[in-house]
Amino acid sequence: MKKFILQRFFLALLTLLGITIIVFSLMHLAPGDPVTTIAGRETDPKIVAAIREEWGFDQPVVIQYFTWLSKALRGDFGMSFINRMNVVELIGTRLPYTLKLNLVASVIGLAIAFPVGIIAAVKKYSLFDYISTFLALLSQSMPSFWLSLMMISFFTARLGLLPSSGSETWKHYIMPATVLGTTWAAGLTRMIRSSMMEVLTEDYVRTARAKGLKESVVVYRHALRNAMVPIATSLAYWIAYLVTGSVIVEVIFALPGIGRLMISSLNNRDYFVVQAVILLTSSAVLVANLAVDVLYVVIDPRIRYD
Amino acid sequence: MKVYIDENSASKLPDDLEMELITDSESATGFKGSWARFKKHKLAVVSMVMVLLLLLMAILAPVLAPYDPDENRPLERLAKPSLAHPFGQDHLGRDILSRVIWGSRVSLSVGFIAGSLSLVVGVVLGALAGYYGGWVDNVIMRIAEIFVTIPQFLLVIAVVAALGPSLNNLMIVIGLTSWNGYARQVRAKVMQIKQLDYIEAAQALGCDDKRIIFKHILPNAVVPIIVMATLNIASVIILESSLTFLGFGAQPPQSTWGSILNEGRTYILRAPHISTYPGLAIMLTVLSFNLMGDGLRDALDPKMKI
Repeated sequence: MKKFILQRFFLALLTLLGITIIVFSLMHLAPGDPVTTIAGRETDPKIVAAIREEWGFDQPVVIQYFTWLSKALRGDFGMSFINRMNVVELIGTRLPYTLKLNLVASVIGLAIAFPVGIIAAVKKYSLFDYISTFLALLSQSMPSFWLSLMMISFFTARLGLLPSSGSETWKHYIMPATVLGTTWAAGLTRMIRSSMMEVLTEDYVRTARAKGLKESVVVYRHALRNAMVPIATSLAYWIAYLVTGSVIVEVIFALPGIGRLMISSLNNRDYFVVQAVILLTSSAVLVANLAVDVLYVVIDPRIRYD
Repeated sequence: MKVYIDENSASKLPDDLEMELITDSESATGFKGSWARFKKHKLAVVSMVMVLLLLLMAILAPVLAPYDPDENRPLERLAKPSLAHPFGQDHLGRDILSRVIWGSRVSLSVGFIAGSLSLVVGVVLGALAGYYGGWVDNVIMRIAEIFVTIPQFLLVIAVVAALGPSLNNLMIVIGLTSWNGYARQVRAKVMQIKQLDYIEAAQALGCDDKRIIFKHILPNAVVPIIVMATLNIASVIILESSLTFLGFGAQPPQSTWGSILNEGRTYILRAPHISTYPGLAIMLTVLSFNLMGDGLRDALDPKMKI
């Protein structure tokens, strides 16, 4: 088991290395000199020369990569010359908005997906199952930016109930978090339903029922626990889902979070910020996956690794 | 209480044995049996008809569109839906119905082109990884892991922004980043099939690897590939429209559903109809492909998991 965790850890490091190469290359995909791109509106030749010197842009690409990597490992992602702020600090000021949004969205998503998915599986092929499955599919097929716009046109324009942009009060979070949470819940509900349905046909569930155990014990203790293995895998990708959704939702509802920062940085070609945001979110996904892999051993003692 | 599951339970029985036990027409193999199972899925049949109608609409756009999609009518700007213009008019007075009909061409071609690109890349990489195993497999699966970990949306948007926003760049980048699912499915299938006797026979007869992979192994993987391709088109269309909505896809005057929504966003409070219909078109298209994919999966290979 120790060997397995070490092995997973090593593979994760390898993946991280690959990610850093891709993230680093982004800057060089853009046409033109990366230094002037990064410097943005800063045209003072002294500053431009200083950036070139500091990040080794006068050196071969491989050296540039290692310069960048060693700085990144020490938590230095450079300066955002557009925002006139250190990238890490800049992200620090924006992160709370995204975290708040995602926390509320996750609560909404989990509160919908688990009960609905479990009930749909237990009462399979019932009216509830059909309706909920169809709604989940509908919600998965609905572009989140469209849902956002429709909500604004209804709750803001028609009813005048909710604000359509900004982040000042908790009311500003209702619509974006609902869009994000329900979209995520759609996929998760289907996932939970299908894993529960599979587990509920197993012999040990029949045995548990035959023993006369209460249905709730059978469903939650015997079935759900076993169904958690595939569910946990999909939960690991929850960060990727939410980050993606955050970008769209933050832009539409004018929430000053990481997603909106990402888009404005792309428009301004502020690559140090883009690199840091992608590396940060990818690392978060990586850590979540690693955690789930290790947790499997706890959830499912049958899993053996060699 | 812990329950032990026998890993070698019924699900591991060879497929042909199960086939002998069930003999009614709906479990028949081959095209006839699959078609019978697919027909049972009312929604899947309806959605297949929908997909065909959408394709027809895209092909017949010049005939079907009541107006020139780019014709400005400044006096009728933001006009609400009427008999003459069932979907209303946008900020330049252009007919939205005509724009939605023409937009289907772009959205569907992106779905098919980017989808095919990812299919080819995924199938080739998956086949190589599964057939050769060893370090080839390791390298390919490590790369796949990297692309699973970086949130696809962020990567695509960053690369497209760096290369310069355009529909072509968008298609290529989406195609090159969504091959993961194919690679995994094909790899698993190839690994399973290459151990069978007839492959050994083909090798003994002196077939070269290329012929074995493409002639003898891959035809067995056609079913999961078809199902994945259908579902993949759905996700590509959502991805394309989201990116175009944010301004990183088709550039004016080229218009897609995403770009109509992007333009409509400014007028969401005054003229929500601009955004409503292209969004419905996206939803209907994506839903149709999703339902058709689900139906195909149940019809062709009920045990498949995607």
